[in-house]
Amino acid sequence: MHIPDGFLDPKTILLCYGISAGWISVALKRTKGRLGEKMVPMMGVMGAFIFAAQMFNFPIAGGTSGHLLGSFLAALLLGVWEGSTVMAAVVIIQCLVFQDGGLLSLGANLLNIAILGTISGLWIVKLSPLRNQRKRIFLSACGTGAWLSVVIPAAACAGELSLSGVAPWKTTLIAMTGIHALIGAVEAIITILIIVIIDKIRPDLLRISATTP
Amino acid sequence: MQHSYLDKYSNLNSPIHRADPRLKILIALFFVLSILLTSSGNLLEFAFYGVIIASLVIVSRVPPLFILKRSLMIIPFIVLISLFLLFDRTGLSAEYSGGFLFRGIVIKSYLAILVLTLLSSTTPFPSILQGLQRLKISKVFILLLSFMYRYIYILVDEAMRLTRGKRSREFGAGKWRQIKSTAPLIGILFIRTYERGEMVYSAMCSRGFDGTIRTLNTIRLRMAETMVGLALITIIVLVKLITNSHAL
Repeated sequence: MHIPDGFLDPKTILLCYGISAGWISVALKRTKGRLGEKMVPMMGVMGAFIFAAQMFNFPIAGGTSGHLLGSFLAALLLGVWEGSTVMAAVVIIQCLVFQDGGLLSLGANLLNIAILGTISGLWIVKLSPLRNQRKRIFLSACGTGAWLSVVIPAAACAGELSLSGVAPWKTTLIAMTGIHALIGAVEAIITILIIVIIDKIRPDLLRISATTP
Repeated sequence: MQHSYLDKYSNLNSPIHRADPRLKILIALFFVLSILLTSSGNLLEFAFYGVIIASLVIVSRVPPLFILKRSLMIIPFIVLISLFLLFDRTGLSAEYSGGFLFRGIVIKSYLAILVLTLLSSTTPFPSILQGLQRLKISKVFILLLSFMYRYIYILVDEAMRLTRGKRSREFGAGKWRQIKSTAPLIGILFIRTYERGEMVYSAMCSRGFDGTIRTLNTIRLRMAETMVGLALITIIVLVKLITNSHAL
């Protein structure tokens, strides 16, 4: 969830901007190191892909619909650093073009979505690489990872809000993680279905990214 | 196809549209910061900021209704936060009531989103990027953003085509079947995007791409604009000083 301006106080804003700027500059360097001159075109179209993937609507109970968030999928398919780079670009465009998330809270939104969203789920998949496991174990690892990639940023968002003194710590944490546990379940189902189809058509794409450290 | 909603009014012609993007970004940041630093009870100061934003909107010739509509983006978040503030207040300062804090936050975030909407609907995204680049944001990252922005339209088109095909194939299917048939489309879109990325890269290579992208530099800071910008910042500072001395 994107935090608008007005909710965070200056110390939280500075803290989040500091962490995000540091992480993303490292991520840019690592991505550039791996992809070289191919980085700009490849990461550029991948960012646009995440954007387009968020356009697909999934019907959920009672007339509401949800969409993929994609942090985990980006990390799984492209790698942690590449995923962070792509998600950072997505969050920045959402802020500057769509007013989704504030200008001063951009640091916090980057921290939650582009950083925590990409690193929080991937370690489980690293523990169960595709190469030497049964497919079902790999897929359930992916589902858990996708679920975590939604719930942990939500908890971080609650933390940032209560650090700013606008919301009580306990209720916010329970409410945010509670709501996002459900959103995360949807994310997990969609992500698994996506991975299954990629594995059917171009398993090489999955194998390269899911098994490299 | 239909994605004119992206930044619909950013190509109008007004003094604000013509201004240097660097200047606009810096002023927007300064403005949002001073809105944020207002104490929650200072309604007079909020009113002044509202007047400044309204007059900027009029000068920019962007339809006010459009800006109002875009600013409704923050409503879900406000509802969420209001639930927290109105029902449980352990650990918050005791001198303010939950309703008071809530009012302050709502006004602040609303004014801030108006400023942000005004910035994005008076500045085309490529010029925002040019401005950011001149403000010393990493060049590779700026290139990546501009590349991505260009491809959003193409891939959203592709996504819409896939969705239309799916809808015509499974008219009236149940929820679970719809989910099961929509998710693979994202997988297919990923594969197509990956292949497209490879093709774009080799097309660029065959045209002599060597890792650097050269662009024409069209932005320059005019004296008059700088003066207007400084005047605006002075007005904001004055509002802050005057309303706060009034409150004392």
